[in-house]
Amino acid sequence: MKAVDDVSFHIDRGETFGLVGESGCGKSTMGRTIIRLYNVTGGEIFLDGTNLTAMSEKNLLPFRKRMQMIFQDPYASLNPRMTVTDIVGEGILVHNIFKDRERQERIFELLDYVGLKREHANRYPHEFSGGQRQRIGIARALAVEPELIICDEPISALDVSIQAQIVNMLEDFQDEMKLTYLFIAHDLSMVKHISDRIGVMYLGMFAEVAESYELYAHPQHPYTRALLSAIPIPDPDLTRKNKRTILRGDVPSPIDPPDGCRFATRCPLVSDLCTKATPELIDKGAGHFVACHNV
Amino acid sequence: MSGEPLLEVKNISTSFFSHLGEIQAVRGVSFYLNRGDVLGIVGESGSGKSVTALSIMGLIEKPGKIKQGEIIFNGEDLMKKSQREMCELRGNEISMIFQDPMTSLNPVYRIENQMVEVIRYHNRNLSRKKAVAQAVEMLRLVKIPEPEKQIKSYPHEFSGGMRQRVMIATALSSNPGLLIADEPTTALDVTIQAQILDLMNDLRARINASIILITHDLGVIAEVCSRIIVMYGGTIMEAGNERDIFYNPQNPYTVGLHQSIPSNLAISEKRLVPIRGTPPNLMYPPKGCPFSPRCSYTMRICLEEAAPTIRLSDTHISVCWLLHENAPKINGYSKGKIVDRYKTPSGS
Ligand SMILES: Nc1ncnc2c1ncn2[C@@H]1O[C@H](COP(=O)(O)OP(=O)(O)OP(=O)(O)O)[C@@H](O)[C@H]1O
Ligand SMILES: Nc1ncnc2c1ncn2[C@@H]1O[C@H](COP(=O)(O)OP(=O)(O)OP(=O)(O)O)[C@@H](O)[C@H]1O
Ligand SMILES: [Mg+2]
Ligand SMILES: [Mg+2]
Repeated sequence: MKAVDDVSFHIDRGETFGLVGESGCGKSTMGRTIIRLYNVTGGEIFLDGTNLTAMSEKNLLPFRKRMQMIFQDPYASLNPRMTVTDIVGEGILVHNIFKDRERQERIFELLDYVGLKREHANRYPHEFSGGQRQRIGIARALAVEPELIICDEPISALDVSIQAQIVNMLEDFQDEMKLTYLFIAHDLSMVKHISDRIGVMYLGMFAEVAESYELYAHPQHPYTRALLSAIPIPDPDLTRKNKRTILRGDVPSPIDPPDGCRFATRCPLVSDLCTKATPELIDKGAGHFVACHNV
Repeated sequence: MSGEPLLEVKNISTSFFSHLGEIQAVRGVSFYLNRGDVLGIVGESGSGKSVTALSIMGLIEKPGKIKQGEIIFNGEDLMKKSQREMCELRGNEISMIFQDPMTSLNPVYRIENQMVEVIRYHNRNLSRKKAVAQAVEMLRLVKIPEPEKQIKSYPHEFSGGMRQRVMIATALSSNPGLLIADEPTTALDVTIQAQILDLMNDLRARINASIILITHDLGVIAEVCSRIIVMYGGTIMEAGNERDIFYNPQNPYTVGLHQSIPSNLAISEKRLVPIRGTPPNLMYPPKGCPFSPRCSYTMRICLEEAAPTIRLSDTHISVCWLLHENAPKINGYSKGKIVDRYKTPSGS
């Protein structure tokens, strides 16, 4: 099965690239493939101009340090038998950055940074709330001073009032440390808030890629339009004005995706061509890419 | 028949007694639901939304207990009813859609058998054939395509959205006076959520159902609800109609919720204003207002005494010391009016 198929895009240094799409469309797979947790079956990955695609694990190590990941599930992503110190300090050990005292000092510093207390250092993950666990995950990712962080739904499992704490923290760190983010989420309003550019995925392929504001102001792909119109807006007056496109049916199985355009089975604009040829991602000007025969 | 209360909940408290101590999940909650209304209960995880719903349904089991209160439904106090009478009532007059759709459909039976069983449970004289026909009609009502054929499916052959439709169809098949839907769309993708919310709006118009919708998403509330209750730490913080809660919130917690989320996609957003801290531990809830440890306006009395319920209008109440006549007037909360919804609280 191809969870992510024939996808090309780039992320500029210092920007936040948002990846949105419905459950199972391949967002996590994409993130994990980029940091080579999964092997690539076709295509290439470049970091800062270096091709990582076929690199051996040994040669990959220095690049691993430059790319970190914050995971979707703050409950499953931290080893329950490791203390906070061990979790946050693991990368420092692997990459041999600081020794003993310095290492502990660095860990304390990171805990301060993400708003945890130093006395939390010797506790275990189950003693923390979801939001605190996500902070531990962020401290772990920051420990090796990466350049690119893949944030895989870092706030989806958190309470609304805690989500904003984490989003603001990520924004601050980006400014202070010149970080680059790939921000994965299905909450489109948060993605819009945090991203410079956004890629909309459907069944393992990009439907549309554009600057964040442009995408929301002038969505072109029928899937993007439907997705945007489906967002529940916490403003009843706006909600009433919002003309909603209700999509028919469900997302088809990725094991046997439809021929041609994968969105054809649900698309309001579907034509003959759509079931025959797969549309390519075409630049419609100003970096706005759309994969649709009919726009 | 709109306008008269179908359900009145008066000062209920529900606790769970674990070996570590008493978890005070719901503490003195009161509200009403008028016929034909859609009441939204919004709040974060652990605020007591599901426990409130389960208390109404009479489904609190040991080690849980409803410690006090009255639940008046159609003029009768449900707290005084026997187990058997409650069982009759559930599914007949009150139906609930549970938070997790997979737990409430049995994976080894076809949809048809499960629906027919429910329909005939409440109408024993109905022939099987007629019950099947009614089930098919219900599936058609919730827009399952080709219902005659699909009714033969097993739950796992359906997607999450379709299963949720089946749940709604089943819940509605006894033609209940009250439908309680606990996070009916939380597990679904947004495009599927839109289908379900659309369906609920449609049903509301067509069968004049009275609905309680539980969610943590203010966006979902804005789609379907006419009255709204905001819960926090097992208590009600604010209640009002759509205009009150979205355009004139009078409780710092409600304001905090609004400021934590990007509200308008069309404009380039300012920085979010998070609520600091974390929700309370209900084993040791704060003595005064449950929000006082996180609130930007906390006064000494907020920490010490439960806040008074202030009536702001016929439709609008807020449970907050700030609105008390002796409280100092704060910019933005002058006489209850919030001047700028997006202003950062000053006292922080
Ligand atoms: N380890 C795996 N083995 C087999 N299939 C997998 C595996 N991981 C993911 N998949 C499949 O690949 C597809 C894409 O999954 P992925 O987790 O990337 O989706 P996603 O967009 O991150 O979804 P979500 O929003 O639910 O996290 C899905 O159909 C999923 O079932
Ligand atoms: N069976 C139970 N035993 C012990 N504690 C319980 C039980 N059910 C609920 N609680 C506790 O009661 C409190 C309120 O829970 P409730 O399920 O009502 O929250 P909720 O508002 O529905 O949250 P969510 O949005 O996560 O569904 C929580 O602290 C929860 O841990
Ligand atoms: Mg994922
Ligand atoms: Mg619940």
